[in-house]
Amino acid sequence: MKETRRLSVILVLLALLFLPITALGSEEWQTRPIPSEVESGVICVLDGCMMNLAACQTSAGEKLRGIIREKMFKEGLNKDQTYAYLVAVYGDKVLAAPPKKGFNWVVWLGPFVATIGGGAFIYLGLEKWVGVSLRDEEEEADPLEPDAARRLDEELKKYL
Amino acid sequence: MAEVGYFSIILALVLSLYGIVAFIIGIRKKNLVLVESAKGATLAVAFLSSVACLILVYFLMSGDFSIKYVYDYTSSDLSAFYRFSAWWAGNAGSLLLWLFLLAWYSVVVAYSRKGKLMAPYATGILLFNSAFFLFVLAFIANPFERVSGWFPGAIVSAGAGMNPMLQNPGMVIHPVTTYLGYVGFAIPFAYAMTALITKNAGDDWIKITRRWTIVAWLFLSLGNLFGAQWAYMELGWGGYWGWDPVENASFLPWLTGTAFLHSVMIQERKDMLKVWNVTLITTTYVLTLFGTFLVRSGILTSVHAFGDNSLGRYFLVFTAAMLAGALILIVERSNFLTQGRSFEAFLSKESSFLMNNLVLVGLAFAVFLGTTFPLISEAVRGVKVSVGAPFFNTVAAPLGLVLFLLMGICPLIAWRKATGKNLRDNFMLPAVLAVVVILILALSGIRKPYALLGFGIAAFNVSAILREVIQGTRVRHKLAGESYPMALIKLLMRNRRRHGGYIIHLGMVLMLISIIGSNTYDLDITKSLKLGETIEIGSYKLSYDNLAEKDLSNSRVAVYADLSVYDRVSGRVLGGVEPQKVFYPTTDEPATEVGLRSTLKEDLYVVLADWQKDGTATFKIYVNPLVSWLWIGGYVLIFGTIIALWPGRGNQTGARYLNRKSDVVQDDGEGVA
Repeated sequence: MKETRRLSVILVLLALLFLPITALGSEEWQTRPIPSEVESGVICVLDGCMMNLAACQTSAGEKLRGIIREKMFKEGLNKDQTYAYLVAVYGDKVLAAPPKKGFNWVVWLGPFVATIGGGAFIYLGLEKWVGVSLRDEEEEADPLEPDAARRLDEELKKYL
Repeated sequence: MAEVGYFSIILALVLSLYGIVAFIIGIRKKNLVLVESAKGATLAVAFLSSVACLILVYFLMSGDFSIKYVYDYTSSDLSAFYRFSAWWAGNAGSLLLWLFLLAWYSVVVAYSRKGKLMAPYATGILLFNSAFFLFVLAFIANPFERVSGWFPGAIVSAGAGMNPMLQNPGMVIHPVTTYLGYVGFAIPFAYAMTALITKNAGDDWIKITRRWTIVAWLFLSLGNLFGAQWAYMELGWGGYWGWDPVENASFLPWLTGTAFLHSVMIQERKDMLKVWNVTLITTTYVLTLFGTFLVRSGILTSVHAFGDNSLGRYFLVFTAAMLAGALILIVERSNFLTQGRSFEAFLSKESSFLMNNLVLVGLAFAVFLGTTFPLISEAVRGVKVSVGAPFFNTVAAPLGLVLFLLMGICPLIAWRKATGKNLRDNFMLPAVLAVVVILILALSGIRKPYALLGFGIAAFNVSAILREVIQGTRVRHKLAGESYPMALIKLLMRNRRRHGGYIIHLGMVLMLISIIGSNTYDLDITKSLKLGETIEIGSYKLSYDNLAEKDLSNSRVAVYADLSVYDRVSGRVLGGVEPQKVFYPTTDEPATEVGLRSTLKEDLYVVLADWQKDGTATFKIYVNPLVSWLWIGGYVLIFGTIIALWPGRGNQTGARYLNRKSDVVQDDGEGVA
């Protein structure tokens, strides 16, 4: 029992001894800059700010930076773990881009699907228009000989 | 006097409604007197709007804080320059400016000698727009409302003051140019609707509104450019485009407006894409209203927004009504818009323009979807998400590169049908040069695929344009015996539409180079320094020399740091920068004034982030390569647009390419672009 008490006292003393060192360490992480690639992936959701954290210079931004510093520099989380923590606390809106999952694929793939679909539509339209044009040409036989047509094209090109 | 201002608005509203009715009856009954009376009403609306504007400006300049708008957006210590710009600093004033521009644009349309038969219809539609703005000003956002209720006396006498972020020359010019662009697109829209109403299937409306469209596009381009400059200098985050919802709102009509500018050429030349062109200008016009809705509704948070306001729902209703009306008209009259011709080949200038339109509209869709997705996600899943720069950069980069590649291809490809020889002759040299540039850059250590591809595409564009211009100059020199400089000038002047377009493309390429450089090779560091300490970044070494405070005009106080800038290797003094935080008497948050050392190669951009009593200061330092070329590219774009707009011989539409035996190739001008 005595041994245990003595051990406890030693532990407390040791803890008191290391306290200032820990405090010094905490000061360092509190001012360490956050990598810009981490900041630019986060939206400042505090106090209704909603600016990208990299651009936010308000006190709300500083508050959020403090949380990120604590997670990254004090607790040693990496970028993805820090983001996961932020999402757990503030929801998906804290990320500057929606996570690539579920319904969010609509926004990630929508523009490409629409553009490719539009391209297919244009291709089909062109096929129809060019087909009509070729039939017209067949119906209305070109009065120009190939050589004359070539020269005409050459002349036209001068004005193109 | 406030009552006179308000009465002007009410009277203008009544007259605009009268003008609309008079135009309708006058046109239906073919009553010229009534049509002339409606034109007079249009002039009166413009005059009354001017009176209202003058009175508001008088209140702002004289500092009459009994007017709520003056109280909200100015203070007694605000400089005269910013007191004037407070005209568009708030909701009511900016709507009044919009009305002022719209009303005078309407007068020009009403009394235009071009397209006299279409003008009354178009003016009626524009008056309908004016009536909406007058209604909003009269009943929702009255700029002449007096201060009421309880206010602390000291503040009433001083005014709440202007947002410090708006006290920047860029923010003074940016809204005006953006509005000139927004309002300008109402004119081609009004004429397009007129063409549908009058069942005019030709391209008269396009010819009449060509200059309006280009001017609107120019101002919208300037608006975006000035907005970017303002963001770069005032927001202090080292960037110029953050894909903010409001930035996107003005980018959207720019994209569709650009698509429209290109696709109308196909209608002019081939009598095709009539439905598409009407749809595109409708989309552009509706997007200008949508942008206004975004800025004023507070539905999406933005650094540029006017904040929460009930105005949003009125804009939404008006936007929806105009869109619905236009779509009904397009569908109803689509049978009148039958195509006169068809495409002769898959590979031709017209098909490349179609691809250009596809990518521009695809990009617009991407920006629109990204901007509105937070609302869609919340409505569908009940989950709030943010869609910011990482998304837009990912999606816009590939589409943007394809667009720039098409920008290089389109001008050089032949109308009607491109042959293999045509492609070889025109593209072999630019393609080889592009590959050479990519190889040189890769060997010099650049590895990022987008950067390599982007610089290669830029080289392709520049060499294609230069090849075309050099070839034309040499032909003129040979055939006409002109000196090379004279041949170049005459070549540019002979077909201004085409060569103005080339210059605009050149400006866009310079902007592309800048965007790639500044986004892929930027450096940044955040560090706390004690007085006398140094920091190194890129090719620079900065020495922190001094931290002090100084009084500025209009009761402002600046805390500033002096930093000497040296060449990191040679130690040569390059100059100094002085980042500041400026405190305004009317707000708690200080404004950022960046310390900037700008060269053609790169910008050294320093922000004073924080400081301690012992002089220790935290700096955010960025090295942004090639940013100057963004602004230079913008000025080249303006120059090219002026060339393309310049009236007289050399500005006409080029030949119409027809492909049937019965058709005659007409050439009502020299241009071919």
